[in-house]
Amino acid sequence: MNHTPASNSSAPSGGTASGTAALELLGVTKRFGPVVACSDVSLLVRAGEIHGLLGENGAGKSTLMKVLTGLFPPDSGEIRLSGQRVIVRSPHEAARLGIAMVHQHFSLIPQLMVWENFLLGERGSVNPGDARRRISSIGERYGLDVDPNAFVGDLTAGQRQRVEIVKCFRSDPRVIVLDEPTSVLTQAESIVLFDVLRRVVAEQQRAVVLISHKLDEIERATDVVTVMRRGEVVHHGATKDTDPAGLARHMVGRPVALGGERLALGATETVDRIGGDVERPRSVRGPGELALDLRKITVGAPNRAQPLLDELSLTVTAGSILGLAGVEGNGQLQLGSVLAGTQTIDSGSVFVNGTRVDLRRPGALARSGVAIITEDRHHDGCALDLSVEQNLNVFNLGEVSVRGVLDPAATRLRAERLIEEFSIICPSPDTPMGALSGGNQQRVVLARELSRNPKILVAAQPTRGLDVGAVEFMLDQLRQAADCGMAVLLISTELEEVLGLSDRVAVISRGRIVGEMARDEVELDEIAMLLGGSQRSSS
Amino acid sequence: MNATNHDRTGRSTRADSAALSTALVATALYVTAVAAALGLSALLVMVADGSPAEVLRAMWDGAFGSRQAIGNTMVAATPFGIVAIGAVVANRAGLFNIGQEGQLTIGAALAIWAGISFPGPGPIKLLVALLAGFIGGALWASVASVAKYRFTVNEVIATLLLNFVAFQVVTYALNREFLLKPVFDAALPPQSGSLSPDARLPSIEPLTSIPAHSGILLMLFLVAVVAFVFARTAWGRRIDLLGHSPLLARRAGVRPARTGSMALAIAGGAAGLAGAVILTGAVFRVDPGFSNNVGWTGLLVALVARDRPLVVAPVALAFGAIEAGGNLLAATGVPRSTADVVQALVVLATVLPPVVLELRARRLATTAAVKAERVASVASLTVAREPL
Repeated sequence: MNHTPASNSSAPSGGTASGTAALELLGVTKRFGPVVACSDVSLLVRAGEIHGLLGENGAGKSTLMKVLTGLFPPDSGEIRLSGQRVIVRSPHEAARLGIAMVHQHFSLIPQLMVWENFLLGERGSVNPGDARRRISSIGERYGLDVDPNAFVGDLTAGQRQRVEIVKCFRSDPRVIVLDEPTSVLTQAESIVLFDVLRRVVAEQQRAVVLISHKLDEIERATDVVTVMRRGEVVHHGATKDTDPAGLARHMVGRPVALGGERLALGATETVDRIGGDVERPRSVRGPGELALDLRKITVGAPNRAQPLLDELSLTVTAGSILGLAGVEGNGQLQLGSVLAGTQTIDSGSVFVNGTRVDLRRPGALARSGVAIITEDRHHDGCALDLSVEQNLNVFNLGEVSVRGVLDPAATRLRAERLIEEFSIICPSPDTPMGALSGGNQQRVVLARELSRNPKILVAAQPTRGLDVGAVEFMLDQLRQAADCGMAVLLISTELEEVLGLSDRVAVISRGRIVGEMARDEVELDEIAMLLGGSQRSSS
Repeated sequence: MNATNHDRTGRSTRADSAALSTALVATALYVTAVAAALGLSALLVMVADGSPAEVLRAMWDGAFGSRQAIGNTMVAATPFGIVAIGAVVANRAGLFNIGQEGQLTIGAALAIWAGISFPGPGPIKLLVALLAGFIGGALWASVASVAKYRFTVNEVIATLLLNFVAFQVVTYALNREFLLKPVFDAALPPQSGSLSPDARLPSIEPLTSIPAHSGILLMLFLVAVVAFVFARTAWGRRIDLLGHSPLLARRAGVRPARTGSMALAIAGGAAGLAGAVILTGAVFRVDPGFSNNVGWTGLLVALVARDRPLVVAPVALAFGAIEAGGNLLAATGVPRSTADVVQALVVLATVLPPVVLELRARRLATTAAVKAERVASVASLTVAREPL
């Protein structure tokens, strides 16, 4: 097989029937309770090809790969390696069978040297010399240059990934799965990685599965592409026969599900709102005053090739919802932390209603009127060991106390009022927060934040992990908040949620805003392209 | 909202049964642990050619057998409780101070220096000495605060190592006549001068006919104050918030360095005050062995009380009883150190169950979290997959 180099702009040839089947997944179905995460998924990966697996968050890519590497047993379907049926019970067994996985988050120990990390998980005696030799020979064969004696903590992200790849070659795998390998890499590092992968498939006739949501790298690096959406394969074909726009359409699909879901729940009026009916609150909301103004926020610049937030600028006006869409891991977490006041920034500034907020002062953002539903509520949203009442009375201690001494009647009354108002289900205000269900914990957080009468409400992945009823409640609350004149910033990886709720939509990619538009102007294809990392061409 | 109703019933029964099983496990654990500790203690006594019954009897007599014994128990319990109530403050702020030995020694050294050199009537001297003890301990703990908040040195390491420094500093001072040594004589052991009788803690014997100094009242007062702070003040809430969710605390305007340093200073100050109480109530002079593990025992009291202020007082008294009970062991032919071993075993027996329960709770929580995550992914899929 003659492969053109990966860096060539024309799509590599390949994916033709010439290669033998290295890996076959036949009719794999995986259910969690009533939900089908993977529905009758079949995948054929040939030796000597790079197979792209494309899809949004929650499309079932990860579940499929977890089935493949033995983390989940499939409910039905089978896995074949070189035509032979195998049963993979654990990642160890997967490795033994020749399936290696490079995870998105590295499993290396920074305090150890490269060769020590290389040996982790192996049994028997430790032979440093042998380990170093093996690292060097793997490195030479594939162009993966790593120093066996370097401490992993001193390496760049790209070098660490090389260590991971070298490590996965330890067991001489037939199939190599890379999960979002470029999410931590710079453009240049990505190109080097694709060259390495190209060499691996071309010279060794191995098979590579490249999981990605980035359209350009799927186009550039893969021979064959399979697109998944909602647990099903929606497209399969040679990469050279596709174009980014087509792939994007397959990946995102049409955003009708949110409306449909509302309909199913009996909340018909929301469907009208989404449909652009005159009753839609948005039409009532005029162009409000500028409430939240982020200017050139940069986070994580000095230690990384790619900052986590890269001169991000964003504005939200009062009485409207700005939805920030984006694929997970493009800086949303850091943006949320900045707005929670728990992340230090390298440069940039935050203005609230025209006044600059001193981010170094604890509580400054909260005092200036920014409320936030944080992404990881257990981390910085609430204290699980403290009671519901204590969690509700956090920002208002000054109001419920006289010269520092609390008024127990006032704290309790307030807790009971909020429990009632937000339908929080708990035995008593003294119940520890940790004893509540996730949805009720989220309601406690929401109740606390909204009861401060904030000017700005930031909701970072507010519906993650909630059941349908709780999602509905949360979204309604956000809508009401905007109707009451708050500036709402909704950070979400659920595109449908963003489209269903927002007045304006912005897209974040690699820590930058790559496009922003009014909800009415949204073109699905364009959003999909932006999510895939392309810069908006025209404003 | 069907989902929520279902949620309510499903969860409450599950929560109830979980709470019940936790209570059962807890009881079983405590009973087993204490039985094991007592069994081991009896075994140890038999190995040392003693009779367990006789030893138990002696310890009981030593702790509660007479007015004098009860007084001894109270005198021993007082510094334990004072150290512990300070440790509770630091612990609840999420800071683990293990420098009580050093803070107590420094506090006592500063107290004797103030008590001897401060002119004035006895009661004033006493107050100054107690205050100096608190300030000495607080300052010593603040060294660890500076190390933590300025140079990001872990407070556990800093407070631990400062114990050794404190011991050396005080020994140095005890050997210098311009500091704590009363007269220059190389042959004299390193020891401070004696506190004048009028500057000592008054006895409670006239009131209660139990021979003990009034430090126990101070201890109970401090317990009440700290209990009030955590139950009823905004500052106590902030400390708890800082200890349980530092990031949420920060968002709510709690300044971690300031509040944390304050908590650590209180913990150190309490240890220093305990040193001053031992000095003014029982020992009256300072020597290099002054702390005598009181700091460690006090820390254990806080540990056993699991940072609940009101529990500190009874636990401190229980530890005081074991300490006082050990005094009569010599008569049984069993070494005095046996009491320490028994004490250690009892501590283990009371400290282990909470740890095991904590681990169990964490494991349950992890399982629940994994389940929740699965439910979450399912839920998000449900949302996405609802029929069009």
